[in-house]
Amino acid sequence: MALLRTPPGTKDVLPTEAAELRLIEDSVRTVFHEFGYGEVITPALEYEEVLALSEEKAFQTGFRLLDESGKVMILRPDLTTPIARLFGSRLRMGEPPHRVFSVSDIFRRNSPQRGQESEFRQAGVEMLGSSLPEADAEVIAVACRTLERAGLRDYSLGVGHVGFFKGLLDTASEDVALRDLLTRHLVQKDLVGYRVALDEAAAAGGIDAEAHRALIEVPDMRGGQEVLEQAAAHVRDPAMKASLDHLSAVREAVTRYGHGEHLLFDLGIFRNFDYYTGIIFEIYAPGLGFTLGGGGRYDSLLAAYGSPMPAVGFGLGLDRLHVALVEQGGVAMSTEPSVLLLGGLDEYVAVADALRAECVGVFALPLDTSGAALLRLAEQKDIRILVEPVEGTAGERWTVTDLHGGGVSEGSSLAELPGVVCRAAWEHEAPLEAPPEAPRETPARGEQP
Amino acid sequence: MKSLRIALCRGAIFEDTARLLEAVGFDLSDVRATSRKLIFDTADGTRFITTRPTDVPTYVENGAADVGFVGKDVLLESRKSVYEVLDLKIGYCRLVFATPEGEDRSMESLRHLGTFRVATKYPNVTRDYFQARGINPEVIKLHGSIELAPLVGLAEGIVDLTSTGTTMRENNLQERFCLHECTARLVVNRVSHKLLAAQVSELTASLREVVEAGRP
Repeated sequence: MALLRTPPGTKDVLPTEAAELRLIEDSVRTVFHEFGYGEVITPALEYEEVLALSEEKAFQTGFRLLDESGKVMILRPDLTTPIARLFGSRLRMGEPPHRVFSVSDIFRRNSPQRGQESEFRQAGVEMLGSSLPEADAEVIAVACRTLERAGLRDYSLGVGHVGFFKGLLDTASEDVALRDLLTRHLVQKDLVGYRVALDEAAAAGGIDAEAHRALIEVPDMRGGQEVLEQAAAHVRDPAMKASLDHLSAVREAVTRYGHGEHLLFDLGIFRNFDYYTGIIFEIYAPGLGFTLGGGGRYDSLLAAYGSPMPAVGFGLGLDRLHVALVEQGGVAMSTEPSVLLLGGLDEYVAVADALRAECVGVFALPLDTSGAALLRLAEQKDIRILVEPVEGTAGERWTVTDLHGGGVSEGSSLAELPGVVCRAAWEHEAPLEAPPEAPRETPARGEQP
Repeated sequence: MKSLRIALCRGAIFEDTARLLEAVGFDLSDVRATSRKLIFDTADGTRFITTRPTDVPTYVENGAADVGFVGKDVLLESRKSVYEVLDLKIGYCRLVFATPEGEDRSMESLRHLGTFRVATKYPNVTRDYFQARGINPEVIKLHGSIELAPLVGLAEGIVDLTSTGTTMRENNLQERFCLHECTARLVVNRVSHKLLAAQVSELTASLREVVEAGRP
């Protein structure tokens, strides 16, 4: 038999993980809706020549297919470019700002040495038609709320601005090849190569001493408000000044949402995408070696699709957020509890339905299931409550057992059964014999246990 | 303030690395005392992790260590996404292309066959180097005694590390050109670089001072 494997970078998601991922996704959508973002769903396949209008080099790692006429199609390689395409083709009318979000699978050939996924799910928002720092701040605040609603307590956002480094580089040297080389070193995080190239250029007289010092400091310009002051000493043109003022304004606005303490300024951030033109940010969780996501402002991208408009957005890796949540204590599962119902598959379908109507998940089994099989199933499915008919009562009387030792309630009538089961299922601590008047509390989504 | 987790390797650069770290005030007496243990927690909260040289970039990329000390050759080959923040100027060696003495058979093969065979422990570096120059050699990955390959006809040439060139000369191999000059580097996890900025910057600055002042 052939090996039943899936392609590298892909995986099957089994019930526990899937349930947690869906919960995360639900909480993410709720936050996006609260901020007035509307969902758009773009096709998984796009024409390559259409996405290529963005001139984005990161799409080189996309998966490509041919249609019957030989046109090259690409599997959705990011969330932002299809939305830019959508606005160029269909949504250009209307009063800005436009707020849209999408939650989709992204496909990129994984660089095999990186242990990255080839197929991964991202959630992201885009706000189009506003260039205000307050728009950037809203998008950052949405990112913060999203993380917190999903249950993440400990996180930071590194925020930088493309304009600062660009201004520094443009005023430092006319030599395009040198500017490209320095940028490439920083994108590759090779600070040693960067320093060597800088020192050589300075020694050859290609860069003045002041610019040389500033460029050396850029990768270390990270931290709180003091970073902006440190950077202000190196301002050499109005665009650099404007970028620092913009960052200050963004921070002030984010503070109004109550998330200011999560921001770190970092003027040395370089994201993998070329289309960013203004602020850029990355999302970190301590203890996790990789970023959860990131975003920024891309004011030129929509022009490539015929509807020039400023825009800002972010994308969040849902699988990565899941990993971070598990690291920080797990996903708050508040899905309906399940019970095992003996006979629910054959004799007592009506009883199973009565329980389902009470918001209890029912894992129905044939009446003749053996006791040993029942216990194995309970363990495998992590189900705590067993419901079975009392022998000889033809389903008039029922026994409810808490398999984790919480107690047994015997002889409940059909009318009493849903109430008894709900109490047993929802109230983990209380013994089953507890008086029924205790109010049933439904745990809120997103609350940590 | 949270202390750093530092990945070290027991390889050729261990002694120099240890001396550098001691020069900036770390206590490595435990690390030096035993090579059986893999994790060492010092009184100031620093955790040292000792691994194989080739594994250092992996520990750092995945955030199992915040920073690491690793040779540039290993770093180039691993292609890991980590910040390379400081050249420690220790463990100097060169990654060179060599063929048996006399006429260079690899060039002959290239002329006639459009390719040649090169044996190496560094397949990624080798491929990247030649492909950037429009040459597509057949790269043969070996795990040791690379010098043997051209002597028994497994390959026309080799790409390997050399510091003095003695091993090559003893095997009648001639260095043709140098691909990369390599020294040890301080590397940093991309998230630690941001979230532990103060600690990382302090370590980098103090090491830079020692390195620029000459060997400890």
